[in-house]
Amino acid sequence: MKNNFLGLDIGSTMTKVVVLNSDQTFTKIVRTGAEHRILANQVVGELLADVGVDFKEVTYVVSTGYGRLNVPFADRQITEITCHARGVEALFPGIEAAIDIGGQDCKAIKMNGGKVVDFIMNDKCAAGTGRFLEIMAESLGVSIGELGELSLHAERALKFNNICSIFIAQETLLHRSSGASLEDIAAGIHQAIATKVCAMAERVGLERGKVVLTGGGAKNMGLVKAMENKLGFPLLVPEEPLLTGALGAALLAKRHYEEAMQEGKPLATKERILGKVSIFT
Amino acid sequence: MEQKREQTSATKSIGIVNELGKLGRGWYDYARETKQKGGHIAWAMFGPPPEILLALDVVPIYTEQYAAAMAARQRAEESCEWADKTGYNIDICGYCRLGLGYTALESRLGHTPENPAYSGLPEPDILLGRSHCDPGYKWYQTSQHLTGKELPYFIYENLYPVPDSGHFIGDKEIDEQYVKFYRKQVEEMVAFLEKHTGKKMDLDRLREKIEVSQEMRQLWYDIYLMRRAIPAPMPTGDFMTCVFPYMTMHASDEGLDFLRRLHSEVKHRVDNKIGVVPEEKHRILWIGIPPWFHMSIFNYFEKFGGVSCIEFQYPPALPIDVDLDDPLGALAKRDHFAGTLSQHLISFPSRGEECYGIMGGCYRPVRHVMQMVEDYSIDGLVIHHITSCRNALIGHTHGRRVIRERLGLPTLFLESDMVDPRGYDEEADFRAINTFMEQLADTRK
Repeated sequence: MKNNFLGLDIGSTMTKVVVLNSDQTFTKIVRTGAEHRILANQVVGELLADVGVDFKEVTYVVSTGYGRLNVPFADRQITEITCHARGVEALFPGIEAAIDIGGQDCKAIKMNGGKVVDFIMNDKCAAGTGRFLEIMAESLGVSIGELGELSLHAERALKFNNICSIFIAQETLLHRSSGASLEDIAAGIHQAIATKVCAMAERVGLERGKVVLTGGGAKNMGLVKAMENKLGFPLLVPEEPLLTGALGAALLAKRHYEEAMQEGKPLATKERILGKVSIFT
Repeated sequence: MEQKREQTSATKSIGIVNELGKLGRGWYDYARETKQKGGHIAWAMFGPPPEILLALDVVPIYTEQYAAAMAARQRAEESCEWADKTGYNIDICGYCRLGLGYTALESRLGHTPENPAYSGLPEPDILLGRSHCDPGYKWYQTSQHLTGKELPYFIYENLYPVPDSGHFIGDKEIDEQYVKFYRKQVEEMVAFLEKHTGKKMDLDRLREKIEVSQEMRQLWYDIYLMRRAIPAPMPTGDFMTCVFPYMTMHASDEGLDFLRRLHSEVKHRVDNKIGVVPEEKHRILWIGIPPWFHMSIFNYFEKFGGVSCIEFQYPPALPIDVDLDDPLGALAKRDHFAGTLSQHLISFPSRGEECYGIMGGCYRPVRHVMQMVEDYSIDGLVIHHITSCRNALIGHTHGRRVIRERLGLPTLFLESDMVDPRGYDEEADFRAINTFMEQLADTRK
């Protein structure tokens, strides 16, 4: 029987699953619901059914992300920074830094061989997060996808004086009322975020050509370009930037299993039941 | 993601630390009684020699420590809000802001605010600031405006030679100048207190206080050395709490008694290999003032087998011999060598980034952190970066970079205030610590 290793990343906005075995990698991404435990059962059950793997055939499960503690069948919980580092290293061997822009936070990770050397997080302020872009998109009456695209067609990015989400929203309205184009406003918003995120990320030490951008923010080309302009060099972006955390979790599940085997230690695992769990049980 | 904090005070490892609440109340009662009997109360910063104060029946109340006590009792918010209302910006030192807010509130109420630490901050007769940082002297200047009462005020200057200035540590000529300065200052402080208390300094009594202080300093230093033991006998949470008797009760018999018993308990734990956690996996060096409103953060490391086993804040000075035949000269010499330059740092380089201070001047250089990493078998560092403590902000950032580059140790930056809990996000700190502990575990492999 093949060993299957499952990584589950329950983020504040999106939930990602990766199943690894010796031959293949399977993935699934869904929106995070309010009840993480029910969601965890559902999304894992769906992916395993799609790929024809019985849950009992899953050797080890690592959960990560905001909701990692709410996964009843996870054999181990590991923080998202450790998992991101591992996942990014797998995709870009030898990489030295990653910036992850998620739904509710952003973080910069300095790494060496997939191990975290240093990290910094911004989770006390919405500016620099996916949620901030959602608010801005709403205030301009466009989708979040359109916001990034608009910014790429700006003639002149407008300058925003604030880094606070609330005040930028007010400034946006002022710019609108004075007749500024949506494109120029969108570009200005992306520049403001890029300035904030890059200032934070530079604190861990970034080097040209050795920085990966992950998370939902990496799917926004307007933001990627704004950050590249700010940093002065191109960023590396995975094919699916949402999956690095779950991939890292699956890889760490595999490593944990292998270490236990090498040391001849028994591997403690949870019961492989995907029953529905309520927060009231 | 903010969650209600269920427990804010640290769970103690050292039994005697549980006596500190009673000891603190006792000291404040003693201050009030002394005043009733014709003595005086001084609001003070730690710096002016407390031996001089006690020898003249002036009981020091260290207002920074009072702010910490208010925070530890979850009583900081109201005073901080009053500081806001009075116009004191959030960027001002948290201790100072809480103190000014407390004074503003008390002035408005006309009586002591509700449920304060130690039944309230006793009204001072004398003010003793210090030059170490701007709140060290601006605080009391401002509190006089808030109360409308002008009090005798003396500012004690601590000299912190700046690296690369040419003022080398251990340079005989420079040392003589500094000692001369301190001597003059100590004499002026005595004259100032004699004038405002109406008492004459009794040099024999001063000698007794210096003797007590010398023993306290030796005990404090010995405890610091004993904490190199593995497993760690005393965690940072306990140590920080013990700063109260060491500072506030310095040179007093009660303070000495406490330190003797503390020394004995720590020694017992070292001799019997009694650690803070059952299986010690990671040893942490804590840099910075703690979040006094959330001391249980130190216990959080313990869930992962980690112990914050030593700290860079409130270090002991190397005990030095002094000539008690000349007590004022003894204080001057001590304040220069032990207080400012710390003789045990003389061997460190005087130029270059390793000698730049984590705090002001060359006092507590980065090299000292590196030495502590070795001496205390440290696996990782936590820097509590207090944005309202400007005295440390540049040094922390510099120190972190040098330590990371030279030693490659995991170093975690936590940001909050020392006393103001508003805006504190416990969950964010725990998330960061979770990753930090994984880093330590990964490094260990």
